[in-house]
Amino acid sequence: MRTQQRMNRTGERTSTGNMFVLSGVFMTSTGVAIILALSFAGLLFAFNRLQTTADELAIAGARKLNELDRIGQMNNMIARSRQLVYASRHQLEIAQTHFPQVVELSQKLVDEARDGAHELDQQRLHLRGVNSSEVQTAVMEKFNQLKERHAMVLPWIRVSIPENPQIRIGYIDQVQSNVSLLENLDELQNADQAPAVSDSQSKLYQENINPKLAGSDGDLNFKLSSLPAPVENTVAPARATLAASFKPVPNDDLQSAVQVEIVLQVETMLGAAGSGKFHSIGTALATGANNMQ
Amino acid sequence: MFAKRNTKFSTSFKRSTVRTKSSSRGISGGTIAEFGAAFLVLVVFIFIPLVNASFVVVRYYLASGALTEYVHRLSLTEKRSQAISMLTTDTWWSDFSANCGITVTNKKLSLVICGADEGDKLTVPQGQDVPDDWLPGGTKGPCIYNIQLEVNVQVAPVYSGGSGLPGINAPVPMQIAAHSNWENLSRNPKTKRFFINE
Repeated sequence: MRTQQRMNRTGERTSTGNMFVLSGVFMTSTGVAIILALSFAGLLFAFNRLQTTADELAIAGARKLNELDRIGQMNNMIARSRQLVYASRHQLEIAQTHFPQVVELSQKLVDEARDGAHELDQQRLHLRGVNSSEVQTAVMEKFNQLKERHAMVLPWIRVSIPENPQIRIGYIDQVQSNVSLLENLDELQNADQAPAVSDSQSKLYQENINPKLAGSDGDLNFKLSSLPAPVENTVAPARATLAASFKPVPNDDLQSAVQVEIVLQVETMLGAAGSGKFHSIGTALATGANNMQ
Repeated sequence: MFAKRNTKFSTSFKRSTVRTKSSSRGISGGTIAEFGAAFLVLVVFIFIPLVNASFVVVRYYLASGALTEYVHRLSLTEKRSQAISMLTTDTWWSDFSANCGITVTNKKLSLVICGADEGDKLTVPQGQDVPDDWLPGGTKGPCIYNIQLEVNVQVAPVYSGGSGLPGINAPVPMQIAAHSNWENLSRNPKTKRFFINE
């Protein structure tokens, strides 16, 4: 009908309209270009904000891990318990050779030291469970505070609320334990200077090791976990770090790092509708140990 | 009414060059001779260059967003020397930029430190140590440590010749800087030095 109005019977065109069409094409192209640029800027903005959120969540979890220096203290107690078991066993052997009258007392001391080591190992496992649960709670609380700020609905782009984060707890590669090599027991100290047990430069025990004692006490576990050590009164603050340095802990060792992965659904609604997911990973290391009390 | 009038005209003056009062276009519908040239000028000298130049803005956003992400990665490294070596080994950002028509040159990594007092600001260039006063626990503290990467980029439009007008048919030279908080403020237990100085 419109075409008929704009054309006469002989098919000749009217004298108006070309500039209108050209302006329309020009304006539409410019509008589409502007919307595309805005969409792209919006996607970049959404991605950067997602990365910031992932880092914040990981740090919230990591700060909880070593709250009140519980991992650091546990590592120190385990190392001292090991020393105590070693020393009491050594005293028992001396008593058996030279002082038979105190053998019974020495045996009691060995039994107490062994019971203490066993109990400490149980507490370590309990602490692992507590840490795990508290990290989950801390990360989810932070996530619930932050998730709403991601939602964004514009005519050409829609950013949803992120999906619930995946939380992994582990340690950071090449971060040794916070425990210094113990002195006073020469024989034990010499044995502990092996590179697999301690580092010759830092004089710290290696991370995630179980330096079992030889002989009758070989059944006891003395698991030392990874945690930044204090250096000249400087305690390492919790910090974000590279995702590639995160490792899962072997067996049932205590963890000292948190990794959080969040996924954000993004939809574009200009022309052909499309959707995709942004993945962001935040990794953080727990606060370091305090100086030994 | 107009349609009726036009029909009448077209019947009487078919294929004539007579123009109506309200328009400079011929009654037959053919455009005036100058219109083709004007249209060509509009497209070639305005429309295409505008579209061409608009990609410079999009590419600038790309470069800026990728640089921010890259600097964030650098700030998460263990030592500052690692961040410097990542500049040469981890080239995803410059590769990505090159694929988007952005040439990256002259990367400069520095550490910008803001002290406790207003006006306390220090820029430590690549390869130099942070003075003791500005280290964590130093007399200028507590400080905020930012790692900053400055690069020179050449952002090309979609069509770009070897030389010409920047933004229209030649790349636009610009300097982009991005920064991120330095994360590792602890000390290396092996050397006792701050990681920020290693």
